[in-house]
Amino acid sequence: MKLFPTQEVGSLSKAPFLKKITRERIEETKRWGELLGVEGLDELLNLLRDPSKAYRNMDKLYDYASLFAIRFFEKAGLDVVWDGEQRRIEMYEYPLSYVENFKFLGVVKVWDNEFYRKGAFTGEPKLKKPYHLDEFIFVKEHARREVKIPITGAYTLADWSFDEHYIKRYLDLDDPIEARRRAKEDLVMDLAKNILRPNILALVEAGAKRIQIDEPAVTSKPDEVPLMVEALNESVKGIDAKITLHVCYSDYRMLFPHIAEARLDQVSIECANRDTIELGLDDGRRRGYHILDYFKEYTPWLEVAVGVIDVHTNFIEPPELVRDRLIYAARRLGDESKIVACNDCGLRTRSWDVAFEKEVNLVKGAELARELFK
Amino acid sequence: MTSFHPLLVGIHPRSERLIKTFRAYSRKKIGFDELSKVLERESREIIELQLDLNYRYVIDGMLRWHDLLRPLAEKLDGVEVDGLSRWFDNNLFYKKPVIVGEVKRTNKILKEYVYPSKIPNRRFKLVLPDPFTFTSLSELGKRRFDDVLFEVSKAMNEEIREMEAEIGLGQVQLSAPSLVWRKLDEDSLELAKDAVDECLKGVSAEKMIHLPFGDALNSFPQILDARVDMIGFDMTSTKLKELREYRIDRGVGLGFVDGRNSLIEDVEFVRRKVEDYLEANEPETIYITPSCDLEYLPRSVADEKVRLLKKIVDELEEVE
Repeated sequence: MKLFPTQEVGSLSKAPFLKKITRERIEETKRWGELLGVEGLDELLNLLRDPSKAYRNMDKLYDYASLFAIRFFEKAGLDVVWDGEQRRIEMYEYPLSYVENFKFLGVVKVWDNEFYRKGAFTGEPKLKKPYHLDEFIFVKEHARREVKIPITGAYTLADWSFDEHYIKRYLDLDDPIEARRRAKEDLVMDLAKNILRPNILALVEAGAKRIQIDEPAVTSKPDEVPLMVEALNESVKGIDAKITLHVCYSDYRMLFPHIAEARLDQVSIECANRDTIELGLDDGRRRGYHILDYFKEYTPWLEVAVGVIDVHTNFIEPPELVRDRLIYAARRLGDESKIVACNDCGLRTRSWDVAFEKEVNLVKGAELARELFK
Repeated sequence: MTSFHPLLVGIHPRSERLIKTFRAYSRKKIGFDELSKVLERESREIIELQLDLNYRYVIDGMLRWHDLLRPLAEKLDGVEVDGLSRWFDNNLFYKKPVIVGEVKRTNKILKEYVYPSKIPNRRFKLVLPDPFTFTSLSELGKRRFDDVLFEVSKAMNEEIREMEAEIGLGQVQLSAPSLVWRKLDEDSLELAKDAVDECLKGVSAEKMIHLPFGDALNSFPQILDARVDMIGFDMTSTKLKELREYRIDRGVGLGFVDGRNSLIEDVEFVRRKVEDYLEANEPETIYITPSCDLEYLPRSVADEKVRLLKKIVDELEEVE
């Protein structure tokens, strides 16, 4: 198998024509369409020249956006691709709009003046219909590379929501913390069984070979990492696909030793953001990758998709920096065959120009690293 | 005979209208005057809600506070504001204060942050972090913890006393999650208590310490010796059976109403819990509070909980 395969994490900012259609955006669409060799570009451009007609054909625009993003990652040379979540708005509201016994209540603060729409479970969650199937089928039909589909995990869906149902089961307990713990367990496991599992089954039946479960909330309550693991195992029980867990911007030490119990093939983590941008293979310059000691000790069988591209800056990582990060990570883990070259997280906050250069260098850097291990 | 009062303990959520106004302000589409006008109006709504429900002490909603530490972090000399950190175990982040020199108060801290004009005299409730929590959550660099702690305490004391003289305060509350979030060692708790005393020295308004996000017993017994009139507990994190065993010789705030979950508690359920507490203790005053700030809830749910606190008090008074 190829060393240091390359993959993305999920999101990419929206294709130019999904924003308000202007002359500049049509030009940008043309530029990217030609660069990426997107098929059907003329039809799209014709559609965009009549914006009112284009807006009436949003499904068509979303199909094109998905296609643009697939070709974007393929053109950059990645081995495993996705459509940059072009049809998704975010990772919480969208899935929960397909869940019964859940209601949105209003916005709550995340920091300063940033808010998200939060809701409550009012009964046992039931799935209205698998919510990622159509987008997966489209990507599978159009991608020329392997495909990995991201899906928000049960733990995060629960942790970012209110609970007006399960807590009632335990209000009589004298220990309110224990009451909350048990209620949360019930909720998370029901989400795993009733929501995640049927979604994943539907995807696998439709041909999905790689599933990425996103659990950004997991390290906010260290005591609950075992619960996330239990939910993940329930979500993927008996499923024949490669399973990745993606967690970012966290103290990863909290995952250990618990994730050794998880039915996982790969963990995708953010490292570049905490690394330096200087070249070199010493511990100081490569401080973003020390966490690999834990993977080596507790889960040496797991692939680690290390972030070698920082998605929060416009700095374009040179291929040599990508190379050094990968080599260092491989040495620190003690097994180069388990290192995957990846972004820290989704690229949605970067412009397409910046994101593309970053991805091209991700691929070039992985090639450089590969040569050294020949 | 115990008297019961509803009471809020911290930041109230912004309305969607106010969120939009803040966005317009940060994009420089409107100026500070316009933002201020909306803040004044929105604060008035929250004040009126409490006054209509006969709250003894009234908060202004703290609508301009991006987080509990921010006014101090922005206005104190020797402190700068850094990047985001998680606020305890919440899906909410605050900006970490960084101590870069001696901490001093050279200007008014809260003048731009409070909207007390519609609150009747001596009913304004001021909420601040306790000095230990503020210092624990700051990046200290090379400064010694206790030096910073008492510089912060002194600066806060100056601010509180000046506000008391200028606008009149009914109650001053120090919110102290760091004292209960984890069990601290005895020396730290002693230090925290001394800092509370330093911070509230010479203040004549009612003095309260509030302990959200953790088991109140983590701060015992030291915090029971703090020179405050009231201690408020997060009863979604503290076992009633254990709390009942402590003889607390002052008023208490009982936070059975969950400030972090949208379920509207059953009035009877809370009443029974409070009566259970009363079987073992008979404080002069009990405040019926949320477990913490209501900013973790959407605005409409938070307002509903403001009304709920009053309903619980009515129910308790009827039984008494």
